[in-house]
Amino acid sequence: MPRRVAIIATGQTKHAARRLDVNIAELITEAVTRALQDADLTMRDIDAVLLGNMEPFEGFLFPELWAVEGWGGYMKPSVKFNTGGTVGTTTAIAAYYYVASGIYDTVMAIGFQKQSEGHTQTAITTVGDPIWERSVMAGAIGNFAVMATTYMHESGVTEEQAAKVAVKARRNACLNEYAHLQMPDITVEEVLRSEMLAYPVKRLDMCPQSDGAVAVIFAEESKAQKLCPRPAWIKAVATAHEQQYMGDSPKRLAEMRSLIAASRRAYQAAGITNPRKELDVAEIYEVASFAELAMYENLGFCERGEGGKLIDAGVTELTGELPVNPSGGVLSTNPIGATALIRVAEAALQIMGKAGRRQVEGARTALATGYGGNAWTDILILSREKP
Amino acid sequence: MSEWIVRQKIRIPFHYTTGRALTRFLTGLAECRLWATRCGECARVYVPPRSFCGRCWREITEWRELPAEGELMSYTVRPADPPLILGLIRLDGADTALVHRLGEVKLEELERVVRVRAVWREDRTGSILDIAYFAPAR
Repeated sequence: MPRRVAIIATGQTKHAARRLDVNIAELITEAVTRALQDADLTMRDIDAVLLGNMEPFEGFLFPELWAVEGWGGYMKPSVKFNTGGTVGTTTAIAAYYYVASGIYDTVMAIGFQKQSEGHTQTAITTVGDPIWERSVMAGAIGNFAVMATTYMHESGVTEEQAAKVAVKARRNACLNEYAHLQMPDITVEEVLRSEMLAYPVKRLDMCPQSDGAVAVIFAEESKAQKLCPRPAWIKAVATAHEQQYMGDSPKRLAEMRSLIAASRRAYQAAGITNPRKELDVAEIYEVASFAELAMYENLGFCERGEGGKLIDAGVTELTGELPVNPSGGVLSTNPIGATALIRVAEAALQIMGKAGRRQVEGARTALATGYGGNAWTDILILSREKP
Repeated sequence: MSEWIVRQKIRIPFHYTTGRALTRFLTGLAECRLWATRCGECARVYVPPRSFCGRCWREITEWRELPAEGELMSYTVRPADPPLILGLIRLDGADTALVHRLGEVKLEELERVVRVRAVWREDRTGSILDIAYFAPAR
């Protein structure tokens, strides 16, 4: 039987377009120091450290080597994870496995990216199949645009409904002191008027590129109870992979198969039958406004084709029935190797009651996702109750 | 079937922030000065300097200027014309070593070289290459 595991502390940097005041190691130190302070621990209390980063983006290969003095891994058991948009959730799930297995009691998961140092969109092109896809479709935006048009056709969502997601994210971000974009006065009209990148995706429909790091501390049951007044227990984890070529799943946003598979597996493990009613808050990896609407449908927050109506009705606003991304989400902060772990950290903060001005009143069950361009998905469900 | 290969080339520009400690080190090089940091706990003197000691998990705030001279710990020679000599140099007062090139030395004399000194470039830009090479010192 796996042991019970909880998140007991988190730490984040101030995320920004360019953190020119620190190098990569110093950026990571900022997050790690805050997580240790949050738990009132020192690095000596940490049994193993797991590091998440997408190396091609900074061209900083082996960050576990070059930045070791910053992330506290010196002579400690550690593994690095490099799994695209799921880096952070893969690292979190691995930390869960490390502790649940009984081999380590206290494990730190770290994610970082300093996107300003490289050229992410060029590096992302190498994710595409070298023979079929690289030559015709580079970077993330074109990929999303093709998915979004298909989704609009299937579900009838409009550009205005997507723009509402973009506005919700940026307004929530203003309640989060760590968030990168701070746009308190953003409007739907402004999103609709922003530069068209590839129809229907406009600049303000897309996530930014950020520099940032996050650290999350996982502990076994007795340590968690001793060290944390209200730990965020890991109730379920799930991952799923599917075929990679764009044409293998042409309805990619309308039917997100890996998200459906992973979420249903996690719901089952957590005993959730009606996610909209039983979840109190969700921190999802919505790289583009359109993707969030599609994720509502595929996560079972609403019926198929109803994603647009959910945002219209305000269900996912901070004060709604099921707030989605009170942190401001990926649309406001996106240091890729940290992004999915920030989802986990923010979900944990909600359970711990430490989310400050973005706190969802009485949150007891939270969902966090990582997103690998539809081809793979990670899910974690956190709870105030022990599993 | 004959073999068929798809060829590609992708160019990616990078620009790395040097951060708190290395910025002072690099600007120091432009002024022919070598800056190190010393950990307040383990007393290790780092050059190039770090702002954090990974061994002690502790911020480093103490700065030391080191002489541009030290001990040649090891070297290797790449046969070329002229030969390329790569050395491992521990500056006096440092606990870590710098990798750099060696110059003004004949291959047959290398074996007897113990002490080396930095030879600075005229046109310095704040780069480790502001030191042209290390040469034998008396």
